[in-house]
Amino acid sequence: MPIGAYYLVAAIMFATGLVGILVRRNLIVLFMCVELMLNAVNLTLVAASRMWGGADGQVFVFFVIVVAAAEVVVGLALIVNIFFRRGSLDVDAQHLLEH
Amino acid sequence: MGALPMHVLATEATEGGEAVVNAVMTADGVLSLVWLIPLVPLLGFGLTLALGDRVRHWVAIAATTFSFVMAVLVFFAVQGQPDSYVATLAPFIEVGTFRVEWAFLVDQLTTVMLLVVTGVGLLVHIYSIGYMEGDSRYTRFFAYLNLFLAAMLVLVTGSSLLVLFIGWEGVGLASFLLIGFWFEDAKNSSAATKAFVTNRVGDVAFMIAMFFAFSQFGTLDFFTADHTGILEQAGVLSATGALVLGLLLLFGAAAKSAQIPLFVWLPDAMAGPTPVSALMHAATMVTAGVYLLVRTSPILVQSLDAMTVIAWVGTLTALLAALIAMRQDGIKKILAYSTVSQLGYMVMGVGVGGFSEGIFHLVTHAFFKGLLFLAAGSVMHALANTESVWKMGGLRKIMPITFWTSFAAWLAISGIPPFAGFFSKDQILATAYDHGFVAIWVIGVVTAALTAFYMTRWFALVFLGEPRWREGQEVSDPHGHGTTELHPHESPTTMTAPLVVLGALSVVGGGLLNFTHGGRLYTWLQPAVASIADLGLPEHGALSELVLIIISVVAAVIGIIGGFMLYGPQRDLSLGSSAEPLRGPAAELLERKFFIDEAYSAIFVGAGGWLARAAAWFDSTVIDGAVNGVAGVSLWFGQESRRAQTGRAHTYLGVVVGSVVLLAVVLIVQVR
Repeated sequence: MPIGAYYLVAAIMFATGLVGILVRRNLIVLFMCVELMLNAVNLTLVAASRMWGGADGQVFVFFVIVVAAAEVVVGLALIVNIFFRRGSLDVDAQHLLEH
Repeated sequence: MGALPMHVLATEATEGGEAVVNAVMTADGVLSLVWLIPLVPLLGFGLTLALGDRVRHWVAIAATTFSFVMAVLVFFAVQGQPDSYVATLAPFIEVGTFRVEWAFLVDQLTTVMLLVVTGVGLLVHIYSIGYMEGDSRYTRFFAYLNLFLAAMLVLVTGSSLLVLFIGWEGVGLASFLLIGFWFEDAKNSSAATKAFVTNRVGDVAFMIAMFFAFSQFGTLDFFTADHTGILEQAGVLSATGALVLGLLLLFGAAAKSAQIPLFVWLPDAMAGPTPVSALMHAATMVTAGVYLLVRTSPILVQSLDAMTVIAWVGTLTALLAALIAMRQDGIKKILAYSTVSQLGYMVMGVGVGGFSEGIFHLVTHAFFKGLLFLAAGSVMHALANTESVWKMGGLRKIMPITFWTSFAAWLAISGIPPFAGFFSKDQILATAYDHGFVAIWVIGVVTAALTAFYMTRWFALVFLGEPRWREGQEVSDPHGHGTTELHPHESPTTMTAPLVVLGALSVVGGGLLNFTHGGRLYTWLQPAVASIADLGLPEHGALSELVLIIISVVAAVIGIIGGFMLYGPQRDLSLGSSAEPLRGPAAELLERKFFIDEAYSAIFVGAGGWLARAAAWFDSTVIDGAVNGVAGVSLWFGQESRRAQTGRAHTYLGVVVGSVVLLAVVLIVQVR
């Protein structure tokens, strides 16, 4: 399979995630969109690594997966806390950064 | 003295016949410890302030005694081997080629000044024990006196213009503190401020003189190891350079030594306690300007014009102050103008080429004027700080010691032989005459007659005639609270003992030091001051010295007789100041001091006020306008731009994504 196909899939995944982040307001959905974007990047890294025959791209991916797992732990803990405090997961409901 | 002679100061005494030459040596033995003389009073100042009332006057007096003993030892060391000694303590400033060290210079001139300053200083310390008794800031007074002594001793021992200047500023500070010692009275603190500010004017001239000297000589040291000190290479100055430097030094000296046009602070300085007036504003501090001129005499002799200006400034100051003194009423005010007048004589002596004569008058003046002030303090002490001489009189029997010592000082300042002032004043006048300054000599003789007149007035009004006060009379005490009853009495021994010592010196001091023109003190000082041989002044006038002496004495006697005729005990003066026999517009002019204070206040204070208001307007409109304008613009910009910060995460994210896309587009376009 040509590398272009992998890139196309990755680009679609990344754009989906990005648009999701920009238009959706639920924190959990946003979180899922971030994961989508991360995995789009992973896909490009693996594809490129395979194409050039090097191992570093794949090593990179493992790092990204580890970091993403840690991020999920922290992120979900934050989300749970925010939900308990505010009773809502709408990011635009409170302008926390305004004042 | 095993030191190596390093180089030779080209000062030769031609009038004495054979050349006397001072070699400049590195100090050793007791002379290498000369820096202790100012340091110990400085420590005394610190200790007295730190320990406060627990030590009272003891630390201060011990420190002063130490300095006096050191001064005597230093004198004998220099007498054993008369040369100029430089004791270097530590580096002070080193910037590129500019180098100043904490270095102290001892020569014949320094020893004279050291003895006068520490000697009179010690007497005044002792006197203050009695005079300041019961003052609420008794201990602090002694601390300040020690601070003054330390600064004054740095001034007279400093081996470069800058070290001298440190002492110069130090005595200014001490003077400010002591004039305003009773600062509760606004009059006193404004007198202190006036003295400080007037002195600052002269300090600017002094500093410019230092800059100029550095630009010409590349150093500020009086003597250096390689013969390049400012006093050693004064000859390299151009005629204009020497004139400029001489006049700058004169202007600096005019502030400290109360000469025209900067003398106005000294009469007001009498607001300070009387021992301060005696020590600083009569005997020592005000002579710093004369000392400066004599110390830098090798520069002055490079320019006859500068010398002539100096002589005339001194002469006119002497005359003007003597005229004003004739119609003053305060017991200390008369003495203050008298001091200005006598300082004028000293500066006149320097200007006509009599450097040693000027210093001689400085020394005798320290004796008799110090004594007169201390006697005035004794009288004021007895009369509950009364100041007007019109409220005194008849104190002769009540205060015998004060009376007899004042008697000696009165004859000394009037110039009656064989009292001290006669010798010194007459030698200045004779020098002026012999060196061809006949007009200055005539004015000097007239001033001598005026001096005898106003001092007779002072003496007669204070001590002679009928009392113009009553025993038990209620008077308001300017330094106390409410009223006190008058019970005049002789002062305690701590006050009369210094009077007696100074009285003895006023009687015999002049004759012992310099009986004939060119006597002992003259010979002693001659190697340390510049030779006037190159100025081309005549050496002798038409009249012989004896004729000059007779003229001076006749002038003095005329003054005394005039004074007695107007103010003597035979006159009925019981009406007080309304019995003043000298009346009319001229007398009024003298009483108002020629309106000099008013003129200065109109010109300088007025112009200064106008300038300050203009500057304040400029500051508040232009400067503040610019600053506030910048702040206003920033504020407006901030107010406008804060709208961009919505606080919504989505907005920020959108901006980030938009920017990235934009950047990507730019990059892609550029790569193409």
